[in-house]
Amino acid sequence: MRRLRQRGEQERLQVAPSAPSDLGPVVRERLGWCAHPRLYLAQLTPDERAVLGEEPGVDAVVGHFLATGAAAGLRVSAFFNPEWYDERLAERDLAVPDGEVPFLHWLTVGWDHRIVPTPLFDEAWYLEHHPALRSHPRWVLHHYLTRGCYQPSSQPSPAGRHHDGLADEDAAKRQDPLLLPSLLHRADEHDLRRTSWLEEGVRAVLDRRRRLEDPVLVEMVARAAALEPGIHGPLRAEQPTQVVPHAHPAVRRADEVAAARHALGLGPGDSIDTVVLVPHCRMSGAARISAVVTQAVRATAGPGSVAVVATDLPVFERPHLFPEDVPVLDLTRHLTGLPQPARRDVLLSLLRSVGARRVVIVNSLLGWQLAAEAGAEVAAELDLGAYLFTWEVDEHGHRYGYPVGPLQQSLAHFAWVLFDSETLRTELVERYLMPAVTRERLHFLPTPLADASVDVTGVFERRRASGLPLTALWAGRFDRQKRFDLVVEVARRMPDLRIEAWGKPVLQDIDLDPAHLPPNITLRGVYDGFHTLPLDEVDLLLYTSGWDGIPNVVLEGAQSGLPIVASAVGGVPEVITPTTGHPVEAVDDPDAYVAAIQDLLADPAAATERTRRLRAEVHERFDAEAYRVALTRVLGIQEAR
Amino acid sequence: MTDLSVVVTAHSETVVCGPTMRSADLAVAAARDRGYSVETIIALDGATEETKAYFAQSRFDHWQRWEFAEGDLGRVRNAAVGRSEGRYLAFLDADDLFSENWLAEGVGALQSAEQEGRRVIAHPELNVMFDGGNSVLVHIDQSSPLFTPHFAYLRNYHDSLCLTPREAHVAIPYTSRDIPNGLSFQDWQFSIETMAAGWEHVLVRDTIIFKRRRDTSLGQESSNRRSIVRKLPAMAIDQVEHLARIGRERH
Repeated sequence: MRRLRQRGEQERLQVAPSAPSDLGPVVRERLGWCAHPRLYLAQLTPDERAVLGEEPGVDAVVGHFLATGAAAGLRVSAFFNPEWYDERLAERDLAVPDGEVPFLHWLTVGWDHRIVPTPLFDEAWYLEHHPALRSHPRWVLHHYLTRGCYQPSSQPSPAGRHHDGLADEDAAKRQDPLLLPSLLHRADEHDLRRTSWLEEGVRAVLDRRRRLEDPVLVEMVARAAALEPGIHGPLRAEQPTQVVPHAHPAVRRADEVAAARHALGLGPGDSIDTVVLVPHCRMSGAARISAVVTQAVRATAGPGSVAVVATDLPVFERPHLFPEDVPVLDLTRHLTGLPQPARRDVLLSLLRSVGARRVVIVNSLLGWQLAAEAGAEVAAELDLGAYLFTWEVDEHGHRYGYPVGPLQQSLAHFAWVLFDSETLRTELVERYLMPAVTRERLHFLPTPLADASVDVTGVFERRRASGLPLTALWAGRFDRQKRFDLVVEVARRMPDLRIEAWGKPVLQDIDLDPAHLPPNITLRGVYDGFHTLPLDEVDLLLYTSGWDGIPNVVLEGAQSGLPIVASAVGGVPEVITPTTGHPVEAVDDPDAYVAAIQDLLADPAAATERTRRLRAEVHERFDAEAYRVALTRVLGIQEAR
Repeated sequence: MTDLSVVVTAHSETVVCGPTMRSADLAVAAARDRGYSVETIIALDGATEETKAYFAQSRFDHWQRWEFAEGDLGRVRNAAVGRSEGRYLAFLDADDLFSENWLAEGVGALQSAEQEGRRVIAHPELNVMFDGGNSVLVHIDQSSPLFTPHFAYLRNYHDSLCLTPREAHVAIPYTSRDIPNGLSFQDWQFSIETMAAGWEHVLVRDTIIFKRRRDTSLGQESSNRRSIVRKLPAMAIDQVEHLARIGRERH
């Protein structure tokens, strides 16, 4: 009791509290159980957060708290409410001594007196609902702090569970209690150092709950119970109290939808007819497709008719892909901390709130989840559809991806499905024995060529005539699909062939060690648009993917007039044929690529002729205006007047 | 003019109405003791033969028995409003119970509000759920800091068993918007539309409605209801913030 000061003993001195330099191992351990990085970070300025790095762990946060946060009055634990603690001490006619940090006082003194310092936990209630914990070797609050607050089924308070009851597998590892999203809800309206939306709500519930003990209400219940034995009077202590809506998770969802709508720049009554859902925006064919869809809709229906919503990752590396007057929303910032069903519901509510009449899913995982889980409901309100490019192949060689399970699950709800290659469309029609009524909803749309292009037709012939070193261009992501391992093998088999490789690694599952590449491969780094590559300094385009639709890089190579040696996968043979290029049928065999390159070398004039033919064909077939007309016809979009 | 019309609506209920009617009688007696004139009505809507026979008992002769063939809770309430005489209306589902003080305190609250020039609809302080689960729903009113209009997307803030001035029912009758699909959400819509029209929903201290919890597929129904609620003009995303403005401004 040495540090419990009797209230009124002396006036509180206006001294900034400070953390003691040595807490001792017991208090240190308690502090570790209680620290919640996300709550702490929410109270810091961006500059202060930057000091701690992107995702500081518990130790880093505790260190920062002890060094500066405690003195500044910041809260490091969601389960310490300074005013609540003060009130509980006052009930014992006690107070925190001047100059001490209340939280550290609780860890040091209050804990030993088993004072619960938060309205979010009720010791008796917790034991009532989890009777097995009566044998817990420590104070039962310890159980809640270290386990219960991460377990969806925990019942910590008569005011409810304080969250939406869904599990988060990594919550304990991050020390992110399940109630934290509720606690951080409307954070800008509360001084998080003292309280939060959740704590204020729970306090109000507890105040209301005390009303149940009011003699008049007790008497009214008793009289009704005398009439109807199903009514249990007096109201039993274990009856939970529901109150609307202090921490109903959907309240946060509704607020996030309103904020997302605001971020789209919509005013009262504004709507957006077409929404394109993308996972993110980085270098990928899908990103470019989402851009051409957006451009076509914008060109047809006018400004304000279309928006892009990124649903999965907060990565937006290529915003210039989209027309300037098309709103682009990063929805992920409105989904932080929400469990999966809630994320889907936010997306659905957003689509409703913007009055969307059609939604195009372009590789958005959340979009596909929406289609799978609420497709019937959505399809009753708007036209839902997806773009498909290719299936994927896992490390065991099994096919997976959107054209496999997800399509089967959601096809009934899709008004249309769009393909960038006829090959995949045909494969799916035949695989699923689709009747005509279903086939008619599947559309192959030749993706328009890029606006910007460079014509280097004849470069191979000229370079060969002048005896310049034979050079191949390879461009793409260094992931498993793109089969850079084949490029390495080709380089080893053709030491006189220089290979200029452009792109960046995006997956961890490939074994690419730049230090051990053959000397005739040069890694050139990322690029921004095929036309920006030094196309007149190479002889040919080498393409090695193991699976694909009609890849943009092949179309862009064709557009540029480069000879193309390409794996004959997916939709590639729709473009690269023996009369327009050098398709490689044995797609896993490096010798087949070597043979194709040697075939090319054998007759440079024939190679030039093939590139001319290819260039003419793609310009005819992959035309932007034809695409716009076809797309808007399928989607049912009218020309703006 | 009669101060209060109490309308018990029944369709297929029988003996479960015993406690209901006893509680109603006690509450009516308490209101009369307070000096209010009360009209008592049993509204039988497409009632089964068993229900008609049950309510035909002479023990209910002090209640008027009105038969309807509306087949819809909202429409039968509207019809009962048209035939009743009370300045205020209190509905009671045939399997629920009033607390004994509900009618007396509720009418008192409405009269006090009227004297202050406020347009008010009264609700009990608590809903106590029984029979198939026991829990307590603590209502909040529009002036509570816990009130947020967005919640009205998800759940009905107010139980249908309210005490309402006749003019509110006349101006905003219950609707049956989705009868073909068998959906009934009139009370939720009534709650939203009255709030949007400037009626303030208040709680009457110390009063209770006892709600019998029924074994129905509330989840699906609730989901369907939500999709309809979203389409109400007052719930448009750019309008919802203004819902229940009056109560919140008072706070």
